[in-house]
Amino acid sequence: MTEESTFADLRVLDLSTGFAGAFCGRLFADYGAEVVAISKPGAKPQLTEGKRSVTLDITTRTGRLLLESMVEKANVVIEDFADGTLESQGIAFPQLEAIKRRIILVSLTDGADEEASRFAALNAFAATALAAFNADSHEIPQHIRISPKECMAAAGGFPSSRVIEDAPPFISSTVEWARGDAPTAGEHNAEVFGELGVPGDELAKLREEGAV
Amino acid sequence: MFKQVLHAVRVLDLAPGWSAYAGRLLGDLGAEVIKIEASSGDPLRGAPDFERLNANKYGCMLDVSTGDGRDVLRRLAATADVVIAPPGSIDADSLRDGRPGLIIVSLPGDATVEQAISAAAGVGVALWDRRRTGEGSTIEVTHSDSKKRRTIPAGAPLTETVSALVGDLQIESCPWHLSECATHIRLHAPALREHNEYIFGELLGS
Repeated sequence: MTEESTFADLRVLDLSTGFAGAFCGRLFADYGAEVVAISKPGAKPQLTEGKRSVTLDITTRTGRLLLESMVEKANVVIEDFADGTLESQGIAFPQLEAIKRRIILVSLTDGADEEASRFAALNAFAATALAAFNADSHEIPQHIRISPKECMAAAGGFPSSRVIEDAPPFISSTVEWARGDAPTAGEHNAEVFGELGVPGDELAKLREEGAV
Repeated sequence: MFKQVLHAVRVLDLAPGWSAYAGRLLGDLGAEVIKIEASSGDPLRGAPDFERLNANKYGCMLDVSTGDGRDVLRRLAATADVVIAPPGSIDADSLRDGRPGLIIVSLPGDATVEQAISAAAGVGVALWDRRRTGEGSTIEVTHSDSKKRRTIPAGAPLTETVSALVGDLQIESCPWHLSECATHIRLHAPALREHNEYIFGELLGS
């Protein structure tokens, strides 16, 4: 993405494991945001086109510390863990907000089918894009919770089948849209963790420990 | 301090029928949304879905197909951040002349729900962009593939598919839950010209 991309100065941490969260993260990447997809070492992340991919086990002490450093630099965190997971990891909204005052946490779950997940992802993208502007300018942090069921109930009766295309949801002469390539899992470990001040030899050690 | 996400954002909503959902979502998040209708009114007026498509909006009657109407719209746009209108229904260039930061969203009147949500997303992206560039974008919501679209007639009840998946859940308020932000209904869908005096009075200084 170029410096001039619309969301070039928006940083998104994508912790999602399911389809909806990953699709939402990719919409941000499509519009130029810097999206870092974090996956567990050994897991196969999906829909990572245009994102940077790092592996990190956030349940380890080191993993947790690196995650905190990434949250400090982020505008948006996307997650789709089972209820209570964030709390048990100590990274629920109040903790994230304490790390980064202007943070937006997006919690969404997969729908009954892929179409429902795509629809929930589009809803999450819209809500987050609208909240981002004031979260940053006026320090109004947000925990946005999206349920596919409620999104569909709100859409009930519409002349629509909730078909969400892979193409851009909207175009503009000034707002850029581009789909990047999919990285391999952990392709950007050295780059992203290097930016956080983790030297190469330490990264190798973390890899041996299975933390990254 | 308690602030809504889109406080101090003013939206002129000329989107009729189902496309009015985009403005509803912006209103839910705290934007001041002014629904603008010609004297004939929104085609869905009187239909059961009108309320949920148009809650959290002010209502003004203004015929933008007349010269006087266009002049008032231009003056109103000079106070606004966002205009949502069907393609070709407004003169975007003349509106932006007096308001370089104006975000203009082109949304078909027969928009699908995903197009209406895309329009709302586009406003979010454009607001972020405007902070950097100082200029308003024009957002065009693209048409989804019509072959894949199963059209349900306007005003039709929930389809069996949707009811089966959704069950008894009925949504009257915004489907998005945001903290530190009230997404409840502040305003019912306005009557035609309900807020003409309130909005135009302030604008025209009378």
